[in-house]
Amino acid sequence: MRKDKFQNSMWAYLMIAPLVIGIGIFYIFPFFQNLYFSLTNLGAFGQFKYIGFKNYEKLMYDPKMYQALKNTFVYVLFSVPLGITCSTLVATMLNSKIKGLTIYRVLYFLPAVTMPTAIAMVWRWMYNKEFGLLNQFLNNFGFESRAWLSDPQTALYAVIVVAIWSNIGYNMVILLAGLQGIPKMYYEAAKIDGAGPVTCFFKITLPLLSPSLFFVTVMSFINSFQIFDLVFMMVNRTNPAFESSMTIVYFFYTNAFQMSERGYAAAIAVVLFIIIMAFTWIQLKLQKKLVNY
Amino acid sequence: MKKIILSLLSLGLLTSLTGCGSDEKTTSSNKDKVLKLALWDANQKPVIESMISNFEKENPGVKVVVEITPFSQYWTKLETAATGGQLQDIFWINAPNFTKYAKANMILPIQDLVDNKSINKDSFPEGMIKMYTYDNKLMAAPKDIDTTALWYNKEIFDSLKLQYPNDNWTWNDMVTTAKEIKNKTGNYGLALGFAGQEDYYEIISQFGGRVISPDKKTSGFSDPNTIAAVKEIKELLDEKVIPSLGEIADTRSSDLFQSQKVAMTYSGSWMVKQYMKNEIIKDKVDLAKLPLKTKDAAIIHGLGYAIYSQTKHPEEAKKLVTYLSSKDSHDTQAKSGIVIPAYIESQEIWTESYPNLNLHGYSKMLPNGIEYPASLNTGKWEDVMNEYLNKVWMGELTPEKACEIINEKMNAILKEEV
Repeated sequence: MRKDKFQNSMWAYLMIAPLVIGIGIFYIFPFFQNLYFSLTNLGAFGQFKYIGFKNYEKLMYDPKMYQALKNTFVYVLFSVPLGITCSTLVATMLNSKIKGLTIYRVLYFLPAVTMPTAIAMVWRWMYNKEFGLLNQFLNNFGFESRAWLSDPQTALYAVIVVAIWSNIGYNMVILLAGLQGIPKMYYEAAKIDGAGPVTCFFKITLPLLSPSLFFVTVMSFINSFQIFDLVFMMVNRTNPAFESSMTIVYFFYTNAFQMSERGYAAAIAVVLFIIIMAFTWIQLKLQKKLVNY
Repeated sequence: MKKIILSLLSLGLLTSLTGCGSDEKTTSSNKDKVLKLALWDANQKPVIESMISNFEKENPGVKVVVEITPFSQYWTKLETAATGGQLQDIFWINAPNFTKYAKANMILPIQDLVDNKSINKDSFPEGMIKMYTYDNKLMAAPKDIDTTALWYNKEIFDSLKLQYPNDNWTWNDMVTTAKEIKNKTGNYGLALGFAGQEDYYEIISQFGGRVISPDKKTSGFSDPNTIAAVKEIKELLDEKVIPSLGEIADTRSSDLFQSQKVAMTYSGSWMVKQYMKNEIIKDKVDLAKLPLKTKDAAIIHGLGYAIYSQTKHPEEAKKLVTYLSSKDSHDTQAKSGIVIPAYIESQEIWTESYPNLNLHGYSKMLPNGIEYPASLNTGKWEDVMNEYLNKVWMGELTPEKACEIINEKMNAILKEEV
């Protein structure tokens, strides 16, 4: 009996070994390495010296860090709630019986499997002042053309729109799975009691969808805090809107890879880690109050 | 038991599959010594590959693989590769990054090639040799030269019955013409790129100013001529003679020029091929040397081929670099018209590579060239300079105030370099 148990667990360990080793080498080890590097002056070509908490001290007085934090919070505050609302609406619509359902599902999911760089290129084209589709369309209604991505007042929001659009697909699939797990009989019972579609949505769909919604919310928060690729592709270094749309990871990137201040960049990464951890912890606390199981 | 057998079977299947894959690879790379060559300009790939295939014929057993990374990611990638000890055997280097790589011992000196006359120093402009000499040793073989000229669209000039820009033009001629075009057509007459080289670096030099002192120890932003140049550009922006920074960030000046939305623009010599590839404008455009302000000046920059200090095949890499810096290779480069060859004797061939273009507009500037502003940590002060100049272009700071801040911060950065 004991031998059998040992054999079973050995197989289990053997099976998860590739994953655990992979995570260990590529996630856990670099994480601690980064913690250490944040206390050094690591620069170009890997030479470094231990300098204690100087990087964090410098970070505390760096106005660019606060600008990046502010931008990132604006980004998260808009893209998470709007993104989830849109995905929920789309998922609910695609859960009904309409013609060409699979085609719609594919169409909404397509952005999720498209490379962010490709998405950014296409949207940059659409936002362009001289040749962009969006401005051509707005011109028809008498609005003047704007340089959406190089105007400090609109650039960040222009990126947020793209981010919401490209995330709908991924969130939708998870929510759709959640929706299909809700037994039909609840709706039938509610109908008999005289509930309309709106009441059904708020009293049955939403509460029973809350586990999926919770998962999607946590993931969206984490992903939004780490936004980089879209901003990087759409707002470059010489863009006048750079300062007003630079996110924390972008700030990290410029320091690590353009200025070769790797130690300082490591400190930025640690700060971002703490912020994300705090937010996730709050959400896990709220989970007990808001999520129905 | 059954499970174990099954898993063993599947494991065996997996290894046999991967085994097949690796076998195939080794056969092709076993004998050949492979040299990797890193570069960023896809336009130059065909020419470089034709030179390489000649080299491979002359040197059996050596294979050269070209790896292209777009310029915006090139230095990031190169630095990461260098940190990990995986730098390509031979790579393009430019002035802003040269000292950094040379100081970190990433480059194999090729002074021995100069000493044994494989590379003839006198065939190249002195400035280029100086640019790539570190610690009294030549570190990179000069590849090409780039400089800037004024491009114009003949069709727009014809339609307004204006005189084409010529080599006797002054700064004021250009500005008045640009204003006239703007007034008559509503489109911009002139566009600047706000990137440094090709625009404000050139204008600062023409005004007699400096970005950095010749000894690379102090900033040039306290020079009244430098400040005057910045002021002049700001005035052009205020009078809406040139597109704003925002408009250029949205659509680059070279794209505006290619879509005929602008009549004149400053363009580097590396743009010749791009413009001549464009079917819409290729017969409508020409160029002249930069208009004269206080003095004839243009930033001269050029690329070099550097060899990685830890390369596994230093002898073969040196052979390739020698071949690429020979007159034959520079002639091939010149005929393609892609870049101005660094080899002085080949430059004449280049100016005739496009008979319908006045390429002398570029070559005339070479004797008046000013070395590209660079130091050990070029990127750091460039970042400060761009940030505060952008504030001027956006109207958030006065030119005087911004130049004062740049001067102060740049000097602090330069002080750390010693």
